[in-house]
Amino acid sequence: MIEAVEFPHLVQKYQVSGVPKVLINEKVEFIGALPEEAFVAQVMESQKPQKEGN
Amino acid sequence: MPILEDKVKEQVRGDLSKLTEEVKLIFFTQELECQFCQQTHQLLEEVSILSDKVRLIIYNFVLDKDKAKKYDINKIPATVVEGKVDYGIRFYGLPAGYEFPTLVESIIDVSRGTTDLSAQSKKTIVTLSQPIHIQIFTTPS
Repeated sequence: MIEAVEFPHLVQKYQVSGVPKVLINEKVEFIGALPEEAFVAQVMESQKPQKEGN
Repeated sequence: MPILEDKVKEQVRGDLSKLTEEVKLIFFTQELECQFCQQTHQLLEEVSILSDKVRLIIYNFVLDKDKAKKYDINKIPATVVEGKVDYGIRFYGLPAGYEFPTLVESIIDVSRGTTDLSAQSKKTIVTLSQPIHIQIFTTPS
C-alpha cells in the first residue's frame, strides 16, 4: 500500500490518475477494485512475457 | 491528542482479541519525524496497545540501515506487518481512512498465517513461478 499524497514522485512516476491504482511487477496495471477472481487473473497475467513491440 | 476514537479502539480491541500468534508491526521512521511519520508512529502505538499479541518495533531509517535493507525499505514512513514469516506486507505512508481496516485485517491474517481467499484462488496463486510485486496506490478518503 502506498499512500499517494505522501509520495508524489511515485504518483508521477507511475502516472497515477485515480485510486486505487494497482501495479503488478510494473507491468500490469488497473484502476479500481476488482473482484477476487479477476484480481488473481491479473496477477497471473503479469507472469507472461511482454509481447513484441510493447 | 489520540488519533483513534474510543469506539474504533473498542472495535479493534475486539477484532484483535482473537489473535493467537504474535504479530510485529515494524515501523521505519527517522530522528526528526515528518508530520506523517509522527502520525503513523502514534497510530501504530495506539493499535499495539489494544492487543498483547501485537508488538511495535521502531527502527531509524538512517541508523538502522541493516534492518532497512533486510525488509527492503526505501521510503518512509513504512510499516511491515510480520508474523512467524515476513509475507512481504508493507504499508507506506499513514494507514488512515479506508486503509486502517486493511491494516487491522492484515494483522489478523498474518497472525493466522492464512487468508480468506477462495480455494481456487489459492490453487492458482501457488503455481506462480516468478516473484510478484504488487503496489497499490490509495488515498485516505
